[in-house]
Amino acid sequence: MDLDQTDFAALYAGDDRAWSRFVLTARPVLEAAVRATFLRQGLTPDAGLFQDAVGDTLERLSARDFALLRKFEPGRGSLSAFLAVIAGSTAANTLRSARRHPGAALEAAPEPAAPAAQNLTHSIAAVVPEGVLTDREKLVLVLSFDRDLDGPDIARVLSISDNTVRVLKARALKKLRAAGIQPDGSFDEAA
Amino acid sequence: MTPNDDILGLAAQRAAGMKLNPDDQDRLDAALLADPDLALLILDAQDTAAALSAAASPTRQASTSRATLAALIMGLLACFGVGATAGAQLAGGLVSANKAPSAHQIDVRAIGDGLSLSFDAARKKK
Repeated sequence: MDLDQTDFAALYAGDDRAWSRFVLTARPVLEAAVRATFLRQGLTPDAGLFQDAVGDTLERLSARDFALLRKFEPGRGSLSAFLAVIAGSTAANTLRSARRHPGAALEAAPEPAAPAAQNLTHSIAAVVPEGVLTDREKLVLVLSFDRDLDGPDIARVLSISDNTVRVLKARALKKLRAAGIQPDGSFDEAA
Repeated sequence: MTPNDDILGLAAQRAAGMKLNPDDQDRLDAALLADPDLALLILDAQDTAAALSAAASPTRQASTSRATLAALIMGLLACFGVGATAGAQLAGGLVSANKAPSAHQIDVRAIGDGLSLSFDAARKKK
């Protein structure tokens, strides 16, 4: 059975068989997303923790009368990608929770550097004076310089064309130069 | 990376390729600006979905081929059915066009998807 054939009406009506079918078809996507998250954080998936993350994802999807799953509108996008976001985020939460109560599987794994802490001192967003850039321009620079994403990836994240990304980035850099600011956050003495 | 369910839903919609309304788009932009790792979550999810789709494609291709073959056969049958009816009319016309008196009755009729050609030697025209 295909994930795209999910009977959402039966699922939301509380049909146990529909839920079982959904779990069966969604599981490969959830497992792949959880595995990707674990590997990104340098962990070989521990069986118990892995199943916890998959189970937590299913619980999160069905919580509050499927509030999160209901945000997906059938026929308007890829259910696999939708589920993978939820699974990835939930897996990160599961790992974070496990680190607070360390078990054997996580003791050797270093805590990844907190992104927020990284950003505060070095983010380009932190050095741009208020009002110089639009939010979109600032976001393109942040994704480009703080996260090293290339144009096509930024385009995918923002759902815009590569060309629009190039235009936004060029315009933002031009504004920064005019304000005497370099993308690395340093100030141009000559400006 | 602990987006609340509201923002997580928007990120999931974006990853799924769903179009967001301007308000939701602004909220997601603000969330991405506050936590750029959300962008990585979206990209990872898209890559995961694409990889699974690519892995499943050989099976799907085989299934599509079978469906195409079935459609082709059904199409041929349909064409043949139509051809049989038209053929019966054509054959019947050719037979009856022969004005010479015949001692035998020849019927050409379409039956189902085939042609029926019957020859009745007993029915002599008077």
